[in-house]
Amino acid sequence: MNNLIIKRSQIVEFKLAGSVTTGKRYYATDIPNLSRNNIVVYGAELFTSSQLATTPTGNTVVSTSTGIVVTFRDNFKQEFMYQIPAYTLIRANNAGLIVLLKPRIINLTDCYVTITNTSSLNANESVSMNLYYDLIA
Amino acid sequence: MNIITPLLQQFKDNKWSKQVGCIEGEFTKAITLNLPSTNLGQQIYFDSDTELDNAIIRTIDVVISTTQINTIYQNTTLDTISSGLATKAMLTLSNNNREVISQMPLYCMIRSLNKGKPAYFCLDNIVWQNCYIELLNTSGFSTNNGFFIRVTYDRKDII
Repeated sequence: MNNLIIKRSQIVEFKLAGSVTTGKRYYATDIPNLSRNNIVVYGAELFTSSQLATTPTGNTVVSTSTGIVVTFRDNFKQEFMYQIPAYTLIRANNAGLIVLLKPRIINLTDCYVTITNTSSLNANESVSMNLYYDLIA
Repeated sequence: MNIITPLLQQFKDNKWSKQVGCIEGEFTKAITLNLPSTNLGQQIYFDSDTELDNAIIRTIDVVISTTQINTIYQNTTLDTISSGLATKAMLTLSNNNREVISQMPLYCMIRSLNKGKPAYFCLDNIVWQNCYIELLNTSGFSTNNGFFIRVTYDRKDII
């Protein structure tokens, strides 16, 4: 069984700005490190407040993941990871294994989370993830 | 199988994944970082470490109080952080240009909470004195706490 090797990583956030509404999409905040065309993302790990209480930007991390699904879009706007349950991306829930992705150039600000249940989610909290990436020639 | 194998080979070739349970690194060392004060957003830098600057970092393991209750820092005993405190701090790894290579919540590097699986790295350009732990929430921290980090690595000159 293989587990991911971290070569580079970057914390990204999907801030639940405004009211938290079922079915609403919340997009990722832009990160210059990931807004380049010479990187590929090959793994992802999601956090709730059980893993990370506060993001480096000072936002409180959501306390639950069971009402959230995650969608990633690549640079061709293709939703290559569509509505994967946030719970599935938490390493501790997968026996310590990090979810591996087929390496792709992503369009970070097109990636979003969708709320399926608002219980225990509050306005201005953040869904926080670590994206694992590498530079390509 | 024919579809999956080339993808796994790509991960192996690029050193993006490896077998769980394999040799992690030839050498291992424990590092203790003390908290001189507990201010929000405080970045606590590691001391210079020539050994790690000339190494390829293979795993980083955050040891918590349920594994090792105390850690030694300059002949002083400090209280190792709990898993709860580990959710409130972030490790940032940087290179010689202070470019951020990796940001890792401490909790995610606690081996015992991830079914014994370490966080694998492949980092050959880290300058240890440019790396730091940042306090994102100071609740529960005191200057009696110490961060107990275990690093496994290979020496560059041997590879």
